[in-house]
Amino acid sequence: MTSQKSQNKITMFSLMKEDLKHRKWMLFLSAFVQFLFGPVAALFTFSDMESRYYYYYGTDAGQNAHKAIQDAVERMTQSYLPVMMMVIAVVGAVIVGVGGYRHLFNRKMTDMVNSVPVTRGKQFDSIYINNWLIWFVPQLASTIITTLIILIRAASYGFAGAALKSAVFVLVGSALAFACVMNLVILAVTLSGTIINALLNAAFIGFDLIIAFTLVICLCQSFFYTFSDLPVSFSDVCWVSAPISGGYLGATIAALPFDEGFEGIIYGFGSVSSFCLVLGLTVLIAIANIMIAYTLYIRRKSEESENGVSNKIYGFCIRCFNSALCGMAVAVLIDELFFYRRRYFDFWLIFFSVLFCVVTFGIIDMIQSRSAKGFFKHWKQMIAVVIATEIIFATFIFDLTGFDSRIIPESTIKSAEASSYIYGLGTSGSEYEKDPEHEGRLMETQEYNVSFEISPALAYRLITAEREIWDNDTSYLFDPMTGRKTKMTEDMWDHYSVNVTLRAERNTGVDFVRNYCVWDNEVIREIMERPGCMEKAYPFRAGELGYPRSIRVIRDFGYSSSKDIPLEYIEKVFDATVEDFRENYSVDYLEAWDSEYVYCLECEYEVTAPYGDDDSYYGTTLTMYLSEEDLRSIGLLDELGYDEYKWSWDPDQYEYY
Amino acid sequence: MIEIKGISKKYDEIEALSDVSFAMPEGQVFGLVGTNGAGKSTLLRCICGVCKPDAGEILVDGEPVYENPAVKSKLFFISDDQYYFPGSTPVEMMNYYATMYPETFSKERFEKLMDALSLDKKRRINTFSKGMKKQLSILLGIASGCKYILCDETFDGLDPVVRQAVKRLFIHDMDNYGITPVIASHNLRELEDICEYVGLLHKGGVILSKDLGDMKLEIFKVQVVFKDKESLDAVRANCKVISEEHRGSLITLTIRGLRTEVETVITSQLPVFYEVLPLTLEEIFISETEVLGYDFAEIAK
Repeated sequence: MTSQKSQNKITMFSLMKEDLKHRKWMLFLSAFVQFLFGPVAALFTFSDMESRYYYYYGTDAGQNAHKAIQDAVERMTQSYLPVMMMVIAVVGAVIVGVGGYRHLFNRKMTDMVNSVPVTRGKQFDSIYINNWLIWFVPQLASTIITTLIILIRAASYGFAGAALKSAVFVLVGSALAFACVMNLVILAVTLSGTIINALLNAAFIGFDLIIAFTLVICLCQSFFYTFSDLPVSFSDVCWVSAPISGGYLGATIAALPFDEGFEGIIYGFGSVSSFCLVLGLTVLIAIANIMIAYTLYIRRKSEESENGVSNKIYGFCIRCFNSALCGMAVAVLIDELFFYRRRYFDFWLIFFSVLFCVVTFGIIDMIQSRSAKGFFKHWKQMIAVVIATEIIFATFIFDLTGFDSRIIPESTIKSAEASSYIYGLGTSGSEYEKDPEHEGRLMETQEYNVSFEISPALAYRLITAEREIWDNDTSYLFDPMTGRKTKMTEDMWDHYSVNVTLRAERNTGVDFVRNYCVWDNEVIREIMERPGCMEKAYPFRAGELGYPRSIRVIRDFGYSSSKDIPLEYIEKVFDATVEDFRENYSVDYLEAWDSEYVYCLECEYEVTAPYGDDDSYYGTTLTMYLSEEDLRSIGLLDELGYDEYKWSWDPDQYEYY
Repeated sequence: MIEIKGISKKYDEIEALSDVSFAMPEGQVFGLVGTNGAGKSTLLRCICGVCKPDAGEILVDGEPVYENPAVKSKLFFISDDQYYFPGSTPVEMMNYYATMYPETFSKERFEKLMDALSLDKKRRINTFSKGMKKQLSILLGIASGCKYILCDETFDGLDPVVRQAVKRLFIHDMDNYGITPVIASHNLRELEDICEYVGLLHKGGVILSKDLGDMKLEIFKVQVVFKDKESLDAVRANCKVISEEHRGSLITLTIRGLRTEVETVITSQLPVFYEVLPLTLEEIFISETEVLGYDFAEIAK
């Protein structure tokens, strides 16, 4: 009755057509959203901008039409379109990824789909192509119409190029984001028997690597005193994580033509080659995801539909990994929120880590087994995971790996570099200090971080100095629970210390990176007295900061009092302070700075704001302390009438705040 | 012909099928009977390529079925609870199957049968009763034009009139198109008047697979009254007695063997009274499963 020929007549096209018939709602939804956030939003933006300009300029609005159009085009092409299209691509990818293969969640539908004379591979392909069409066709139409609207409204003002470039890059960027997320979701779907498990799996594959990395950093920072940084950066982990790299990279590409050139937009990657590497890696991961998903799909047993997870080993991994993560993360979070990083063993740390490990494991087990009774279904695994979690947790709490106490022999150090902020200069506005985009404007705060090469001998002293104090100084608290000493003593806060990050390259080629709080004045002096160190640490000595716009003299009498120095004397006071600093500088002098100071000078600088209009300013503050040794400064202040330190306290002379 | 060669299938730790082997000849109605959980549905799902057996192979007209569209185009699976797209109408389902069976599906026949059974083609299926959905699935199967129609509990939920109509349809199509319906059911009375060949499944294994006519010729129920106990012992010794029931002096024996041989043994004992009765399919099934330890009498206690 039938033959091989009959099968050949079931073309890919007819399969896709049949599939689309049952997914019309997705197509309509996609078209509606694209239409709303594309052409409609473009028209709205132009209209909104014009209204604003009429509001601001009234009858002169016509003269500002160019500016209004420019603002509208910039808003559309530089921020709105790249972001919105990316959001639509990512959300759309999840919907079509789950919706396209929905028969995997329904046993009856699976029976029907698998009983018809079509190979699983062909079914997979037809659905996959349809997924692309459902998103891409409306996206393409929306982009074309939106671009046409922008061209019609803005071409005569010279924005045609921007509109066309935006269209191309938005399409490419959102296609990348769509592909990455959809492939990941399909992979998760093929590993699942229910929608909720599919979403759980997608989150697991996409985000757990990042969550685990973040948790490790948190644990290291919470429990390791000498922890500096991990050899792998957070962004490195983000890039190899498909959904994030897909979405972020897509947005980057979409916004590519509008930042300060190609170099500007990819600064986060370090170089063009890094950008290309990340791009290639992301594409490879996306391809790998869909190939694995395809293989799983054609090998998938029909009876796996409506089961929680189709693969037992994978289900086990999800349960164990997530419960361990959640247990430790919640414990650290609660410790951070309520106990402010106690950094030592505490009953509540263990209690919360065990509790949330058990709860997470049980909930995931319930979801996977689709039964409320499933909470303790794998109770042996649960116990094993709790034990493993507490062992991992204990390695951080009790430093079982000896991370903090590790001392490497001097002979194994090939070269070393120390970097430090040397002294907390008390500058505000430091949130911009690592913003290389505005390096030219706020370079002052960056310069405070001093980095220089040191000898292996000095590196070894750095490593051992703190250890020696720990071993010998009884002023350190001893925690009987952990067997570790803690620095939380009042005495230590009065002692001058320097935080130094040591990066020692060892003969084996492996870097040894630690952050040390150096209390030993000899070691501090050895670092500070290196040529050029002070100039880097205290840029005001070299005049790199320029002169402050105002100086406020602060005296602490139990109540703080302050007075502003008259403008004409600012330069003099500042010069005198710098001279005194140069002359008196020593570690002892610095130690006295924040404990025995006579006056505190708050010097306010005004620098150009990184954002906003060009004529606005952003203030930064440099705090300097004057001791009785600073004769020039104190003398000058005496002349100016700031000699209250000699007097008894008369509150009527001072303002309060 | 559908040949099943040593197939086994497990769902986690549950063994649904265990080394099942038999053949389903074409051109006849094949009844697949078995206890609940015997593996009937699993077997059908394996035959139509929905499931892949863990071991063994299934050949349809000499070719393996799994992931073989050419072979699968000869098979139509009517599930016990057929899936219909949400909000779809019979016409939409017809179009779906017409796409999947482009060479053989007859829309005209489907519409004609729909009219004959007074089913509304444009009404949403989710408003249909259970029986109407079942009718629809059967009509889709018949209209598909497939050589093998695999029906899982097909007659459940059908009213007597439709049941007869469906049986007639099967017979008509067997005569005219050479289809081979494979009907899995535990309603043996339904199968008895349509099936020509029967496979008995029990706990994942095949008890027997035979022509129903032959089967009825090989097992009998004999009601007999003997003069003494020795006569019964002699019958037990010379015949393959599957079960026996005593009511006063009346003994009911289920005996496997040829009728003439059985009658010879019984008459040789000079019984006071004896009568040989044919077994219904249900009785055969119960007898066979009792032999394998499915003790209905015990269950009833």
